[in-house]
Amino acid sequence: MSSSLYYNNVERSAKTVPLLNAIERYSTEQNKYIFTLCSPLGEKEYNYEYSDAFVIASPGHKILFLNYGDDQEAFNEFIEDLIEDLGFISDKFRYKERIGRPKRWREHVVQAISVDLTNIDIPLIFNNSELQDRTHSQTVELIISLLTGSINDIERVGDEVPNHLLDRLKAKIQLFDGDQTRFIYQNLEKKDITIQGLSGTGKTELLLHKLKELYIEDKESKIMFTCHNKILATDLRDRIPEFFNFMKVEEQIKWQERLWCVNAWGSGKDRNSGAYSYIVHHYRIPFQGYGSTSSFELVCETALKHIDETALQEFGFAFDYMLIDESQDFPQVFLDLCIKVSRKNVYIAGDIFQGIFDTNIVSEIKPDYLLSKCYRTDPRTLMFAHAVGMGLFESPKLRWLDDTEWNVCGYQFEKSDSGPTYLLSREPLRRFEDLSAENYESIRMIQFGANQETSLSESVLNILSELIEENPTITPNDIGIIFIENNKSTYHYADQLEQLIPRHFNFEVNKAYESKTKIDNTLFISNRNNVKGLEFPFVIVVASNIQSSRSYRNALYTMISRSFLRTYFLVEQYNNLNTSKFLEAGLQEILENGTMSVVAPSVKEQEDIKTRITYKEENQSYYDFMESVFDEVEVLPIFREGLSKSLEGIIGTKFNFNKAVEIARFNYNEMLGRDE
Amino acid sequence: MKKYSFRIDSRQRDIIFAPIRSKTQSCIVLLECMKLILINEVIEEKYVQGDFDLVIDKMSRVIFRTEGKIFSISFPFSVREENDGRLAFHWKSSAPIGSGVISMLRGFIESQHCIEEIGLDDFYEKASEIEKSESEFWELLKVLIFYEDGYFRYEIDPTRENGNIHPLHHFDLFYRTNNAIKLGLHEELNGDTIIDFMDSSTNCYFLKKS
Repeated sequence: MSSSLYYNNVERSAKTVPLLNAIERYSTEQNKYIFTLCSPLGEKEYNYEYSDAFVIASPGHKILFLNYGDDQEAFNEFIEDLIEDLGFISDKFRYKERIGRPKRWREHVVQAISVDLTNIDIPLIFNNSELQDRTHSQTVELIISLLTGSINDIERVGDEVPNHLLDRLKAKIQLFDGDQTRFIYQNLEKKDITIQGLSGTGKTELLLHKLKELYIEDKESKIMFTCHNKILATDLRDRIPEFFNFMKVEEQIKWQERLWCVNAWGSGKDRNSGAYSYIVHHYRIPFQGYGSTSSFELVCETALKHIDETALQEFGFAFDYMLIDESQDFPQVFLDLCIKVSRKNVYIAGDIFQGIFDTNIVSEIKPDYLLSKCYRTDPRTLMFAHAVGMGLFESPKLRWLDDTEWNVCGYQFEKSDSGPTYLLSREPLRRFEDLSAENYESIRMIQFGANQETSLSESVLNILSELIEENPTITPNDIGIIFIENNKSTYHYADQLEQLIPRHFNFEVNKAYESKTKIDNTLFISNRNNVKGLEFPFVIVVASNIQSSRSYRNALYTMISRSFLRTYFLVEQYNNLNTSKFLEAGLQEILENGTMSVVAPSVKEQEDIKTRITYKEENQSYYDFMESVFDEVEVLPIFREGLSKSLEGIIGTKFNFNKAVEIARFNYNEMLGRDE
Repeated sequence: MKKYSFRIDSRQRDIIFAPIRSKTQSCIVLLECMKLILINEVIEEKYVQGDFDLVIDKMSRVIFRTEGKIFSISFPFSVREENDGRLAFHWKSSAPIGSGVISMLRGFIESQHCIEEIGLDDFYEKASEIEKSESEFWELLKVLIFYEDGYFRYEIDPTRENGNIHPLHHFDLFYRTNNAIKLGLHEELNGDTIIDFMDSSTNCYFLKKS
């Protein structure tokens, strides 16, 4: 498997392979991002005559021009040409304002070396090219971003390295890693190309880059970009022109002629309103709308049956390319339909581990690209989020992964010799190196509710005061407050905060479960819904009563991992005394050592976990239904099982929410009465 | 007749006293004030920018006051005082109306900008997002759409004062421009007088042409 740290587009020949392999090995050993390139990526028109040279680019080191041939003159020309081209690209993306003309930077950050392929010392080359000066390092990162097409908004990056951590992180130069670069620039010899990764690994961004490549490269092509969710589709449609503009795409966007970005289903009236609606119009198949009898799976199945070879010959392909985001939301038959109606490629991006209890993390069909690095979240926060989600610090554990699955999810581990203890860790990421350098607590756990001073609203107000003090440039956009529970007190607390926050801090508040959207310059408050795709520098997660149910743990995992600077995990003290103790101890280890020592469950325990997951999977909807009833009535965890049994006896397994709440409330009061 | 009084801060004033031109806007005011009553968070004196009274009688009303403006809408739900002194709202014999369903209603109404103009497709799509189990939501949405909000407003408006055409003190009845009726007053009016309008046991007020 290629490393995510390394990317190469230099032709592999008998001559170059040993060298390239050695560089790749060095990159893995040293945990260093390294690119070996024969020309800038994403800028197709640049080609160079001299082929016995390439560029080695790695953050923290000078840009190395490496010559392994004998023609010094041709090598010099290669350097001059490539630097001239870099100057041009830098001008195009307005980097020149920041780094100046090549003559200003090349002296400090470019080094040319000629090597003898039979005797080459890679570590020495890297040691000799190491940069000490922070400004020069930044210049190199910017040049690498130009070389790899990972263009940054130069205004965001700014002129100087900012003083405050929040600003520094926002201004951090973002570079593609090896996996991401391969997805964008490699052309695989197959029709459907899948890319999978944890959420936060940058899939949507990559699809946009891929779209741009396809749109420019294949000027007559028709492209459909689709996803299941309408809000996400609208958001994407708005992002495309901004993105094209930013990437200086000269071609005009011809909406509904060359490019579509809509959700999957659409409506019968307007062929351009959805991928499915376009397809059925194209092949003259009757449109089937949303209704009680038709599922999306079923309507796609029908459409797929209609489109046979004759139909393809008569009407041609509907599109040349299709790009599908959030593919885990779709039935396979929709993907099959897309593959059928596309002339060239279908790019399918989806999440693994979207659900922490997904049993098929390593799917039977291996994805073409697997992204294991999550760039959204500090690795320590992500580890804690996984640990809380899987109950790793609790007994019994709720979820355990096998060794391959740990790897796929981006974990490294050491097993103890003496026992079944796993020492789990994640690789540090460039984006967050400032955080670890400053020993920044990227996750903090706070218990609330013991008395008036530690009430939820007081705790949140205290956190906000602290954040404002620590980060003078903070704006309401930088903070999200997310409630895990969906019950009466949640809405009550949210309403309370909606009143208090503007009064105390002059921050306007947006309750997303009302507005269903993100509003600029407001502080975001939501329950666990309406958070899809969002991230914030600071997230405050509120859990009143930690449950073991799948949906609850899933929500905890996804919400805790939504911050890129710090997550405050607020736990109601009285309801969670035991759990909190274990979580705090686990968190301590993560913050101090960046590791989690976890005892693997015994074979028997693992069996139990599996049975529980499958059992729950089958009974998922009824179980979740009951949980939501109990959430509404605010039933304490210890009573839930008993109450669930008696409720099942009374109402059977019918899903009448109001009725169930009524009966649950009555029974619960009775139970409490007996206990008092 | 029972009266409960509440304070509002500047943000709440801006929401409540935004011009009302449609039923949607009047519903938003109603839901906002219900929410404030449910939270019942004490507002320190320095933040107070107005207040409102919830008056419970045979017919119930809310009367909102800020500097130079008073307006009132009727209150369609029954109000019960709980043991801890908090108020709870009910529609018919249902469970208390909570903050959650108030948010759902508000989200639904606001997402259309104007519920009066919602198209069938949009309505269908919106409606299909709401779970069938939310029968309470549908009941309450019907109340909001169909109840008569009985809006009127009293203003002291020195900037636009124009003799008897636009007197300093005046009433505006109804909010849609094509329904508006204005009534001038010779003197300033206070909130209590408006409450008195509702009281069928006290003497009536009479109109007199100037």
